[in-house]
Amino acid sequence: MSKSIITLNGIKKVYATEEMETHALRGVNLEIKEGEFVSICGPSGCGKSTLLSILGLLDIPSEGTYMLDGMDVSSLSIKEAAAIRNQKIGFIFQSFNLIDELSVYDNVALPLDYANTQYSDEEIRTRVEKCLATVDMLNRAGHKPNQLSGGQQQRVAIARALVCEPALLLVDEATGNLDSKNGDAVMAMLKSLNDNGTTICLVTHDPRYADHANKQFRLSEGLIEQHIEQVAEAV
Amino acid sequence: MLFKKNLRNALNNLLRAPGYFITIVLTLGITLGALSSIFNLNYLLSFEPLPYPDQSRLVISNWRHTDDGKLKFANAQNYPGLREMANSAELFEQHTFIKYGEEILQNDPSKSKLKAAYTGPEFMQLLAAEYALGRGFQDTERKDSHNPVAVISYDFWQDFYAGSQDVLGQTLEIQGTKFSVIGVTSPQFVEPQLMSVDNKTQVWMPWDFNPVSEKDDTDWGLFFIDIFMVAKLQADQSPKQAELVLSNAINTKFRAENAGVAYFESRNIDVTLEKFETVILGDTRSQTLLMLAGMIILLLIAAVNVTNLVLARAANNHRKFSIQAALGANKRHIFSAILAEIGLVMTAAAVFSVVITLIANNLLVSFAQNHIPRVAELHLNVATVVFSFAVAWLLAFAFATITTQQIKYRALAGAIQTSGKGSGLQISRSLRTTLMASQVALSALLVTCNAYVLSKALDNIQRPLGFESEQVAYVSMELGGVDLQTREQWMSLVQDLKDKIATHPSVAEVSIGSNAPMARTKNMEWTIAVTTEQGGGDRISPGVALIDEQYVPLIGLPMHQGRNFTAEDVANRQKVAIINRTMAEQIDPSGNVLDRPVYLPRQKDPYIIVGIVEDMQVPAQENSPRFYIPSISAASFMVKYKPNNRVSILEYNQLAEQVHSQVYLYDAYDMTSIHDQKLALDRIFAWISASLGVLSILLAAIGLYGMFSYSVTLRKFELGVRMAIGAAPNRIISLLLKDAMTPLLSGIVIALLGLVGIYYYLSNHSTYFVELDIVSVLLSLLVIVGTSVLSAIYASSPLIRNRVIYSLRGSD
Repeated sequence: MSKSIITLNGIKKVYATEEMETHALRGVNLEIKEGEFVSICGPSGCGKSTLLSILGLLDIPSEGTYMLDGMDVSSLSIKEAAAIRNQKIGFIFQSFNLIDELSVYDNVALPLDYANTQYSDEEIRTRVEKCLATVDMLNRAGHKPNQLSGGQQQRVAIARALVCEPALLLVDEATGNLDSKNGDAVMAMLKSLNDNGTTICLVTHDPRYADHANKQFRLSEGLIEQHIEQVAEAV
Repeated sequence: MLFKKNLRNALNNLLRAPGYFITIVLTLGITLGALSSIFNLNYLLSFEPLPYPDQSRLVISNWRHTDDGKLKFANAQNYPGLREMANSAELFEQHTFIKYGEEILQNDPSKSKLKAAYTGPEFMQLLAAEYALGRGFQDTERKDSHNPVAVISYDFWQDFYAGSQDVLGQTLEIQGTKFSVIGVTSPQFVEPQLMSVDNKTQVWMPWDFNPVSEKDDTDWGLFFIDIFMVAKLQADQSPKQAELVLSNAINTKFRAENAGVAYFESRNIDVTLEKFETVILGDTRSQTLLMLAGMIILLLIAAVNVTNLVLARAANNHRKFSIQAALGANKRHIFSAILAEIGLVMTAAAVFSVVITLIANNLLVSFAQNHIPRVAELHLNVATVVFSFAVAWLLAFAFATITTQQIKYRALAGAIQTSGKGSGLQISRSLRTTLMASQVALSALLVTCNAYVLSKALDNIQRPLGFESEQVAYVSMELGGVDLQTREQWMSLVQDLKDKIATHPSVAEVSIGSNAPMARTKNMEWTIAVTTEQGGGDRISPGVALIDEQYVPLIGLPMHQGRNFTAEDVANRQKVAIINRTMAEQIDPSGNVLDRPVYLPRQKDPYIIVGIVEDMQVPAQENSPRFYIPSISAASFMVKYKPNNRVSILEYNQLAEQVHSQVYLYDAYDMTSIHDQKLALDRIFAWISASLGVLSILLAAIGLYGMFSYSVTLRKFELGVRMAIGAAPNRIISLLLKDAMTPLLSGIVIALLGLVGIYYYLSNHSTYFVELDIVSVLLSLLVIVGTSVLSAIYASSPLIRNRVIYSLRGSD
């Protein structure tokens, strides 16, 4: 039996201003096991991005507990959160978020620079080239992001997310800025990564891509409303 | 019309942005106010004529004494010489003599001491003096009229007579003569500070009553530092030519009168006729111009800060500009809107700066009147107000121009169609680099200069005097009214006075000494020319003091070599001397001059050096040679009080009266008070430089924070991405600092070049002695680098403290 990599218990998130409080998450319970491909979908404003921010330790919950790989990460310091993000989580954003001034190679190598472990230049080169090869972008290592197409940029972003060999890949509308052909290619790549054992949590509003996951959650008004196991496809 | 509308809009906008408005008005109001007040002072000193008719023709005589072309001393004239100069009356429209000094008011129970001047009626006429009461000297007070009358100053009238209207006809008894008050100067009368900045005459008396002995009045070999001729040159008279005529006349007479005196054989006297303005101002203008330069740099630092604020506001208003551009506004319209807003802010800053100038003027008049000439005349002049507003509007124009240049007009209209993400106004990297580099350069320059001035001032303040000054006072008695026939009678009276003072329960020790180790002014020292060989050898002009055997131990002056005087040396007036280390080294660079002879003019037997004392470190005075002779002929004393005790002026007068009814206290002052007085200017410099230094660091910190903060805002998303993939806070700070390295280093290099420039300028074009102070430079640069690092940390802290998602979303 696979172990839980993510366990959320009663996660709430409230954004408060002087005039009003907005309850983005109202008590989310969620479990993601090692090796799963999970999708979270729902309409705009349902709390998808907030949930992903909390899952990725970019934000902290107002209430509830979050266990990541057996460790309570609900209230880590900023420095501790940065270290865990670096070691255990890979991010893939809708808008790629590559750094324009850096080459493709340097963008992918960036997480290794921030790691607590000191990597040798040779190790960095091996890892970066392996990841770029995985996404078929090795031949563009010297290019700058603005010299690439959207699909290529997203593949570089995937390579960057993989370079620290994270336990969990968080994907935020990764196909949102891509045409259907590039979008399909990215999804195929994610599927392939999952087949090789990477746990993936995909946030999307597109049901077509949500169907790639073997476990689907539907979020509505800050609560997990529906849970669909894609058992049939697996069978 | 459009500009008027823009002004109305700007006013409305500013009412909604009070923080922006107040920050700029305070920052530039204070710095511009400081600049304007120093401009005001410089304007007074450089452009406003002295308040006397034909002031450019008013001159005061001075003699420069040279031996074989080498300057011996200046500012020492004699009575027959003054009369000789007056014989060349055709050179002058009017002329008279003046002697400055201090006198005891004998009919005052507390025997107070007055600042007095003896002069002719022409003096007040030259100055066109006006009177609050009575009149000035007239023909009835001319030379040889012997009319005992006095004119008093307005302040003395207020202080001594409490402004009493029946002061005219009142009597002032001075030097045994009863002077009747005939006039009080007007409160608007400004006395020319010809003697020193802090010398404010209280009583003027006719020249006839100048208490000068017949010998002093006629001897061509004696010189005095307190007598002058003041005159108004004829309108067509060249000062140079007049100086030549007078120099020839004086030298001819001087040589004839001193023929056969070896000491004066190679002496030449150059008569100079210095303009009142030159004498009064001295080298003050170079100091105030330096202060002006410092203030300009401070304003520039503040201006760089405000540039950041104005640019940041333009960035906030970018969407508004986009809408205006979409509606047809051209670049000029945008410029006009920006200028209207910043113009209003700067006008308010200029008004505030005028208020600051008025406050600064009052502070200067209250605290710097005795240190900076003509400060009493300070008033806010029109030129300063014009200057303040001109600078403010010039800066407003510069801010508007820089901001408009940063707005990419072509992109403005299109920006309205985008979501706004990434389309806002972005200050170009080159401008940001320039702003940061100039901020660092100006701050480093100002901080270093202030650190230098501060360290020099603190050096002076903290430097030990080299003798004991605590609980030590100098007391001088006036014996003018005592009929003393023989030297022995005089010495007996002096000894009696010493013994009487010693009986006071507050007194621990008393010694006889003609001079205090530290006089009120250097000019009060008695100097004499001595030689190391009879009729030849090296000539030295030491300050001379006649002392008894208790003087050196009482003031705790360390003996370097040899011995102190003995009681026998003093009683028998032995021909022995103690000199200080500077004099010893002037006689022989090795300083080993014990048992060597020193000859005084016109004395056959030399004084033999028996002791060498350490130099004293009197503030604002370079080490000068000192020569001590054993004698009890001076009616002045060094008095050491018991702890927490002192003797009042009244008590001194009572003690003197017990010895002789005609003996008065002439002067008494504590060494610590003189020390404080001498350090006053250093303390002012220390405060000003420390305040300026702190202000420039503060302004630099605000400016650098603004720039780092802007940089963080620009890079918020990128930094958020870095943090999302695991960059720890210290990596973000080091990234910001790495980016700031180019402007930081450029600024430091510019500052160093500026410092080298200032150093060479001051070394070659100024009377200032400037030494390279590497510690000040390094310390200041370290402070600026530290300020940059702290600014970077502080500017990035909101980003680092907040959860990463806020940076990625672009929200706060």
